Amino acid sequence: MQWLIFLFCLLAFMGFAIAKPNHYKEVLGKRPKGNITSHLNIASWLCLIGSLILSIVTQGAYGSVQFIGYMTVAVLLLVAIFATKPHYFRSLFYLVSFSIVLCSLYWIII
Amino acid sequence: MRESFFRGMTWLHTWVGLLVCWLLFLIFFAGTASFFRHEISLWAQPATHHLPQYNHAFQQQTVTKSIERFQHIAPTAESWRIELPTERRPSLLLMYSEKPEEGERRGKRHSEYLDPITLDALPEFRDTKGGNFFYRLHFDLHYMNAITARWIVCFATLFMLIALISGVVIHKRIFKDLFQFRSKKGLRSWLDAHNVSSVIALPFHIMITYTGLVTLIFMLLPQPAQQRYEDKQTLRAERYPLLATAPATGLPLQELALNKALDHYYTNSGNAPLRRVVISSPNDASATIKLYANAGRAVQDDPPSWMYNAASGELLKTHNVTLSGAENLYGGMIALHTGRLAEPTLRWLYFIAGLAGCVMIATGAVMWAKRLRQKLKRDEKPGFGLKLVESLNLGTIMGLPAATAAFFYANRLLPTELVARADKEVLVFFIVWAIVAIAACYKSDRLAWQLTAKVNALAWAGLPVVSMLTIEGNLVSYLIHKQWVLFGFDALAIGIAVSFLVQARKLGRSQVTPAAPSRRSQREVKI
Repeated sequence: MQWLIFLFCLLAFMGFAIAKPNHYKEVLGKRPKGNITSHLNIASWLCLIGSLILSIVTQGAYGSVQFIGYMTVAVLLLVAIFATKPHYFRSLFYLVSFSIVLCSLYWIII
Repeated sequence: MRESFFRGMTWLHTWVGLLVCWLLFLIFFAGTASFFRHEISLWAQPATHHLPQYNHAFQQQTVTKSIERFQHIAPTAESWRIELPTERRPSLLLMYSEKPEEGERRGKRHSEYLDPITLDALPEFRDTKGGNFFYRLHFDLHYMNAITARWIVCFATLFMLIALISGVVIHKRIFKDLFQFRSKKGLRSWLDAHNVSSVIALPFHIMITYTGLVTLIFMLLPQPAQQRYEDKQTLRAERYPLLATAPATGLPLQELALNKALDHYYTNSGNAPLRRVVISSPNDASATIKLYANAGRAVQDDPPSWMYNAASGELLKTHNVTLSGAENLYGGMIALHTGRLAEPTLRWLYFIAGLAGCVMIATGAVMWAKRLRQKLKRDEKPGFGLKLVESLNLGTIMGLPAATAAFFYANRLLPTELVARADKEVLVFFIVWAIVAIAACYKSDRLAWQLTAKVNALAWAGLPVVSMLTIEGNLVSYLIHKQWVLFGFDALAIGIAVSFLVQARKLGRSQVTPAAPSRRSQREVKI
C-alpha cells in the first residue's frame, strides 16, 4: 500500500513534468501539440489527489504527513533525472506503470 | 509599483537570510540529526546493541519487576519512574529522585539502564550524550544559558519564516521551473539548486519553521496565558494536571495496588502499550500511580495518561485521553515538529526534507558570496564583508559535518572510565569545529573547500572502520543479524563520505576550467 501511494504520487509528478513544453521536448523529441498539456495536467492532478485520498483513507492524519514526504522524494527523483539522464524518463514511466499494476494486484489478492 | 515591490522583497529575502543563515544551518543540521536522536543514542551505546527487540506483551512483568527493584534499592525515594523500552530504545530506564534536602528545590536524581527482561545492569555502559546532544543543540545551543539560547533560536526562526515567505514571493517561476536544474551554468546552477531544495520540501520547510515557533510560543507570546492565569504555577497545573501532588499524609502505604491500576488501564485504553510509569511518594498513603500510554502514530505530542490512587487502585484523573480542539491543534503542531510519531519510512522522509533544508540554507549563503565575487573588477580586492561571509560559509558548512564526525569518533575512542566523559565528547565536537572555522578565516578559497571536503570524506569513511575495531559488530554482522539501525548508521556514514568525495572531485575538476564553477557540490555539502 505504501508503494502504491508513492508510485501514484510519482506518476502524478511525472505527468506534471512532461506537461511542460521543454521537458516534453527533452523526452519525446518534439513539441507538444494541441491541448495535450492540459490533458496531462488534469490526469496528473487526478493521480495526485488519488494518492492523497488513498493515503488518508488507509492511514489517517499520519498518512497526510507521509504523503507530503513522498511528494518531496518524487520531485527530487525527477529533478535528478532531468539534470543527468533525461532519456531515462521513458524507462521510469514503464517501470512505474508496471509497478503500479503489480502493487494493485498484490493489494487486491493479498 | 510591482517592480519596486519585487525589489523590496528580494532585498528582504537576501539580507534577512544572510544575517542568520549560519545559525540557521546549525539549527537545521542539529534538528535533522535529532530526527534520528534515539538511533544515534543506540549507536553511541554499544552496551545496548545486543538487546533483542522488546515485546510489549512483557510490559506488566517488567513493571512489576522494576517496582521490586525500586523497593530494594530506593525504598525511601520521593518518586520512581520507569521508562519502558520502545521500538527505538531497547533498554529499560529506571529513575528515582531522593527527597530534597533542606534548602533544595529538587532531590538528587539517579538513573540506570537495564536489560528489560532480566533487569541486569548493562555491562560497560558508557557515559555519552548520543543523539540527545544534537537534540539539545537544536534549541538550547551550547555553552550558554538555555533561555537566552531559545530567544536567539526564536529570532532566527522568525527570520527564517520571513525569508521563506519572501522567497516564495520573489520566485516567479515556482511551478514552471519545478523540475529545472541546469548544471554547469555557474551562478544559475547555484540558484537552481537553491530553488529546487526549497521548493521540493516547501510544505516541510514552512511547517517545521512555523511549528518550531509554536514549540516556544509560551515564551514568545506569554501575554494570552498571563491574562488568563495568575502565575506560571496555575498555568502549569492546568497544562499538566498529573504533576500536582497531594499533601503527604504521614501514614505508610499498606500495599501498592499496581495490578488493579494496570488492569484498569489496559481494559480502558484498548491495550495500548505503556511508555512510562511514575509512582509518586511511594512510601506514603497519598501515593499515586501514573501510567503514560505510547501514543504511537497518533498526531499528538503529549501521551494520554492515567492517574490512579496507589492504595486503592482507583482512577483519579486522566489527561490527554480526550482532547479539546485547541489541545488537538497545539499537540498536533508539536507532534509534527518533533516527528516522534514517525515510523522508519516517515522518519527517513523527515530526514531527507531536513537535508533539503540544509542544502537550501547552504546554497543561499554560498550564492551571496559568489554573486559578490563575480561583480568584483579584475584587480579589485574583496572587501571585509565578503571575506567574512566566505569564511563563515566554509567554517559552518564544512565545519559542522567534520565536528559531527569527530563527536562520533570521540564516542568510540575516549576511554570509558574517563571522568565527565559525555562533556568531553562535546568538547571534541567544538574543538574540531573551532579548528575548521579558524582555518577558514585564514583561507577560504576553492582549494580550502576541496581540502575540507577531502578531510570530511576521510573522516566519515573511517567512522565505520573505527567502530568495527573498537566494538563488537560491523557492517556485515549488522546486516546478518538484521540490526537495521546500526547498519543504517554505518551505511549513511559511507554515503556521506562518498558525497564529500564527489564534491572534492568536482571542485578539483572545475579548477581547470574556471568558467564553470562547481555546481553539484552544493548537493554534497548537505551533511
